[in-house]
Amino acid sequence: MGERADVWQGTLALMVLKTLQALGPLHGYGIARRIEQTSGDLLAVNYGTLYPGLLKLEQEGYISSEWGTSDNNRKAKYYKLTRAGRKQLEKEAREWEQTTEILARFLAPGKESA
Amino acid sequence: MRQLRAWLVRFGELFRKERGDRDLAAEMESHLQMHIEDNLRAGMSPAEARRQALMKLGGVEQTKEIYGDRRGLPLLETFFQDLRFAFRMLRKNPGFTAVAALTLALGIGANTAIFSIVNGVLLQPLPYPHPDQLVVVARIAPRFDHPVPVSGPNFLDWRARARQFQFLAGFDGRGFTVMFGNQPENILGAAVSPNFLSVLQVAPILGRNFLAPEEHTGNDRVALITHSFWKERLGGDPGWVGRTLTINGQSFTVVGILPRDFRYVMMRDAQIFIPLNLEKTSRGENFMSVIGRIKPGVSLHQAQNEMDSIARALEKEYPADDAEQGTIVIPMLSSVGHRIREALLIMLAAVGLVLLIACANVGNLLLAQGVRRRGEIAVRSALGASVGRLVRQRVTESVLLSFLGCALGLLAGHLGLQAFRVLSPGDVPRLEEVQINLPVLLFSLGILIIASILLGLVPAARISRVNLAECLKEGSAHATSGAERGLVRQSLVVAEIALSLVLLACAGLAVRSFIKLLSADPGYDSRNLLTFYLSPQIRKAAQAEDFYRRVLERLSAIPGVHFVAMSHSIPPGGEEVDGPVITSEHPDMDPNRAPDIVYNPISPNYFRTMRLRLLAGREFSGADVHGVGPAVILNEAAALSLFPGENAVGLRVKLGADNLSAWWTVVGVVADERYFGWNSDRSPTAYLPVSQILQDNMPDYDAAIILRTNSEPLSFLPAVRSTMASIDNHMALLGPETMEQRLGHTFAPHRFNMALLTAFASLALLLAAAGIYGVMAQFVAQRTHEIGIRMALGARPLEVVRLVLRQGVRLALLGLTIGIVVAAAATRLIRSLLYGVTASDPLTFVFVATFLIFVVLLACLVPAWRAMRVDPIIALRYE
Repeated sequence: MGERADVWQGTLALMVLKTLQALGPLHGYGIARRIEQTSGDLLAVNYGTLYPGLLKLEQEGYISSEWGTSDNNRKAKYYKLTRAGRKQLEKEAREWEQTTEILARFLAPGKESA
Repeated sequence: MRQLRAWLVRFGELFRKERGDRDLAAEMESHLQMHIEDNLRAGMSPAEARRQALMKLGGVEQTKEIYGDRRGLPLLETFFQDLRFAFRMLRKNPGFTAVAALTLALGIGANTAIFSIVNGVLLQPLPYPHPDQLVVVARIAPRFDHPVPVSGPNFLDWRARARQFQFLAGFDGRGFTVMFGNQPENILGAAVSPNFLSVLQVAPILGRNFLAPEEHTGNDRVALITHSFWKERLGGDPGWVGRTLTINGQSFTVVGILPRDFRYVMMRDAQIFIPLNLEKTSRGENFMSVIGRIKPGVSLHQAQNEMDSIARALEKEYPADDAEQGTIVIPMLSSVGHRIREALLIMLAAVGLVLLIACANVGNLLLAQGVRRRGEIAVRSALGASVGRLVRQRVTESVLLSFLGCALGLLAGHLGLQAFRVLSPGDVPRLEEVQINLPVLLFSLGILIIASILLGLVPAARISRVNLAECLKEGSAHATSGAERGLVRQSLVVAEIALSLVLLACAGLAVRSFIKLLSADPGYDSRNLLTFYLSPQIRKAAQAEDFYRRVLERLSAIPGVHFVAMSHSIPPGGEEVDGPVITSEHPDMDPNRAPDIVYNPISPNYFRTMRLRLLAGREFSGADVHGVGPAVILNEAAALSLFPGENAVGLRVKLGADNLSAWWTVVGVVADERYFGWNSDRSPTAYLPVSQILQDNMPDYDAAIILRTNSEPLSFLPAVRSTMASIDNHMALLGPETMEQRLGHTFAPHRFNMALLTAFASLALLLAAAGIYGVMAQFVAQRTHEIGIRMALGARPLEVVRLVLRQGVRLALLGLTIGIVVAAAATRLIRSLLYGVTASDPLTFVFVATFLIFVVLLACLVPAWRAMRVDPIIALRYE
């Protein structure tokens, strides 16, 4: 199966928020699938990471949940982004971009040192 | 903010745990099904689809666990879990729970009761507005080491000059003869300055306060009465304001009734207040107390400074009376509790020791239980419980136990307080204000917290050292082996024994004091003496002389009465008058530096009535009257201290501040009468013939009458009353009592201290005995195997008993040694409660130590008996 990394908590929240922004209300399985697919199957999302993560986001008020019915008539809990979640997503995305940008400069083949 | 919101949500989740669990299960189930469906669509076989899905998603139970931790507040949840478990454990061992909770209850109850008294009497603010402004102002003279009364003119000068005080008021406690119809009765009350109520900031509920002019002759026939006197003695008719009461033969108009809950803390039984008229008092006659209210914002120190400068000015103006007289300003609160403070603090320390012993005992029980529960603990930790978790569990149990003990303890404290009210010697000030209130509850809570921590940590500390594998292996009945394990318990028992010895020594000393007190020779024959005071309203010496002559004559005519005498005071703690004395040996001595002597004016047959032995010289006779050479009889203590090594008879003394002009010739020496008090007896006393000191315009002509009867003195009361009525039918007998009853009153505080200390010491001893019993029982249980082997090898039962007893005695001796050292230091603190024994009285120490050893041996007997009965076969089969 290769080296599929477990997704780590800090980034999971951002991925969940982004997924919900992109796809609208979605159930846990859908969120997991989307994250795995988007990562090109480099990430694996299991129960133990996903559900506590979703719970935390919900407790913090970034997402809300309600029971609904899936495409193939299965009962499932749907999560959707709240207004606070949208703001949080923007904020975290910005921070993340900044972080990666900074790291990228460090890791780029050293122009200065050369 | 988000964090807070999350915590709130999580807290809310605590109360809907089940629904959350079902929700999660359903959600994960639907997740799994969707995954399987997708796998099927991807072409897997149903079995493979399911297997892949399950593999990928990880452990369901584990997820539930993590999810659960995140959803609620795991710390709080485990606390509730622990609490439920602790309840179950306590219910499962009712014997253990009952003994432990009761032990704690006794300790906490005793502390609660004593502290509520300390709080009510010594700490709680006085029951008047702005109580911190209230002070007592008193005089201190070099001849006395304690505050003493003040004279009228000095008080009036203080009042006129002091600027740092809002009010200063005089107070003189008195017994009044009040007429109820034709019946005279003795009612306690006081003469007070008109602004007395202003000092306390209390207003009458009916009528009015005294007016300033009412301290002068002509206006001073007015009275204020307490609510209870008005309700209970006068029927509570509001029309009483404006009516008159006959007090000491004069009509007084009742001008006001005091509030229902009003009590004057310095004299709680005072029921009638009249104005204090100081017109006829002299500067040298110190008889009254002074209370005051300092101005807001003025410190005690400033008030004291001002009084100091006033006293210095008065000293210059009136050198004869006020030389070397200082003043002292004392907060009223500390003045009220002054007399009982030390005894109360000693009791508080004593109950503190009882509590320590109780904690040690319960700690021991918990340890023993811990040993029994090692199997359980081992299983739990094998199933993954962390040490922290196990410790938390045990601490929860001991906290629960402490709470149980505290609840019972409050109940016990309440009962103890009721008992204290009934048994107390009647001179505890502010006792009616004592209750279990918030500060007391906080105190008990503090004790509870300390006790829980002490109790919880001991067994918890053991847990962290439990060797898992060993415990599981041992699982069976002969669980323990190491001697090390008993060490903590043994030290606890040694500490208990040591603490008990301290308490026993204190109690023993108190008991010895009391026995000494009872068996002490008062110097006179206290049996068959009837005593009472008379307060005739007479202003002239001749009238007084005539009155008392008739009283003595008529009373001695009653059949069965041998002698009747009059005296200014009645021996045990009567109202003493004292002053300086100068001898013919040192006639130039400064009166302010002269030794102090009690003087007691008596009728000639006083010594015969009291059966007080004459040691030298003669008694007074009818010939010692005015105009004849003044005669004085000294008691032995006075003769020895004034004329050491000389025959006092024939020598001369000058007596008292006012009478320093005349020389009195010593005509006789009598044995000492003992004045039993907290610390004084054998006061140097000068007896004077009453007929030589009577003069006009004395403040009063009150005197004590003493009758020597041939049988039970109280049976003479009716005859005495009717005889008195035939002389003056407005005359009440004040406080008629036998001499033995009077002695009883002075014993009461000693009796009470002894009773309390003995009760606490018995409690301590009982707990210590239970403690050593527990340890010895465990000792035997642990060694059953060893004892079996010994017996199989031929040891006799007696030798086995000796083995057990030796262990017990070893602990006891260690405890005793430590205890004796501590007690030797501790008993010095209770010196003020003792009479006739030293704080390190060897007899007491030897006795209590022997007694303690005896009790310890008794506590060891049952375990020793059990050891003796060990059947070697059964003991060996344990292996």
